Amino acid sequence: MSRAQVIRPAGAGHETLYVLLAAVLIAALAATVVGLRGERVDEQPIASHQIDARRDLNAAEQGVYTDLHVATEEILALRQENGQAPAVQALADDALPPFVDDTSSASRGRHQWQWLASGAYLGSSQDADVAGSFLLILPQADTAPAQVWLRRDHSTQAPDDLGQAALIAAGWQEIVSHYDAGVTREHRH
Amino acid sequence: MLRSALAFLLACLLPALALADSGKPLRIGITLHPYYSYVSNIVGDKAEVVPLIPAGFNPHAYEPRAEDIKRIGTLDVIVLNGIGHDDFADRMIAASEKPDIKTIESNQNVPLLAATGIAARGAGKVVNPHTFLSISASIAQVNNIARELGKLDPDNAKFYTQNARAYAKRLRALRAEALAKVTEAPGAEFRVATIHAAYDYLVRDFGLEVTAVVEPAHGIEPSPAQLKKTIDQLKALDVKVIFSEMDFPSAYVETIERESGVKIYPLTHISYGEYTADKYEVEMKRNLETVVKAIQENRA
Repeated sequence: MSRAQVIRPAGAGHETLYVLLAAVLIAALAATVVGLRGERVDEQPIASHQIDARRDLNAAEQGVYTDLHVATEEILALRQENGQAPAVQALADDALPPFVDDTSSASRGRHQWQWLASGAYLGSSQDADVAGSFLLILPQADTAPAQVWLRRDHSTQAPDDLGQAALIAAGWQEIVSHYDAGVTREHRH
Repeated sequence: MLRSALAFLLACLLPALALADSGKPLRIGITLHPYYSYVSNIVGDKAEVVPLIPAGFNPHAYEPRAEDIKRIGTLDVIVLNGIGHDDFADRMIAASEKPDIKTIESNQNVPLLAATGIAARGAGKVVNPHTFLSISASIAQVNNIARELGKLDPDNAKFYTQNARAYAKRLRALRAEALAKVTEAPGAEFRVATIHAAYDYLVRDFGLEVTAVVEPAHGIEPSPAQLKKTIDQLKALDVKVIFSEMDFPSAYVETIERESGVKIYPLTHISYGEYTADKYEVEMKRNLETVVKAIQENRA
């Protein structure tokens, strides 16, 4: 008596199914792990009237912007001491960039600074191809942040109204800088 | 009688003990040489500044050692560059007895430049960490550090702010003194290259921009083929001056100078030697003088 033994052909059928299932399982597992442990991409969106200090300014403008950022602390300290914002000449006498007239300011657009009674320093660029004009608006309170605005056209007109809407309408853009702390670090702070 | 005398003695001692604890000067950790100078000038004798890495180690190639990690347990706060020059500190803090120690991010809100050259990986998100090589960006950091230290030590907050302002004034004077020697601003034709992508912030203080970076990666010497390409590139870009690295003298730098005909001026990274309070001023003065000399000797 002969016993018939059925031998299924290799491949095709079940193996494909098992391999597919295993692949789906691995993909799902990987997706879960990535979803749970992956780093968020912290893109900080900026408003349409704002420009990014790192990406949207040229080297000359970045230099002026940094100097303004540093000068603001000194200006606010002087305002607190004397009860009024220091005059442009006093800042220049104190060798405080960007108000001082030196080689650096000469190669960055030779800005002419003036104090606006509405509460801001206006730096009109003498060479709009090198750098735009800057507007540093001091905060009412010493602890609030100051605002820095930029205007790249050749207009030398001082703004009458320091309100956001008026500045935007006049062609000014607010400069913002983001601190992406430690993009190279393992632990985000 | 004895008991009441003891109670009296204890009552007298307790406030003194409590005062000794809260009045104990801060022990502030720092990671890089410039930060030792910044913090020392801010705190004066009211706090102790402790380097995380002992003098003599290269922060670019530093691997944390057990005794250095242990020292973190004795600190109250650590001041960080935080944007790529002291990434080793996070690992050290995590492994220390105080993994939750307070840290001060010196570069918080300091306007940063994007990294250039090979370091510019990550779609423009990697920044140039060498903010300490610019006077303006240093003052911004000194102000940040003083403000944060003041929050931790309110009794001395005013003292720290005053010292920070006085230090900022001295640093500004260094820059003003250097700029005063450059009577005529260099024009757009004054093109600058650097060996290591560290000096963008420094030349920005002079209103200049780095046109090219020579080194493929920090500490890696270019191959002969890369060297030839670099020399051709320097000629094509009409570069007037190359700023090299004082602390990493390399034979290939001489080859570049000889073959391209561009003069090379060495700058310091301020990452070597002993930690001292005046180190930053001394070395930055030299850096500024070097840039001035380069401008004066090569103005077209």
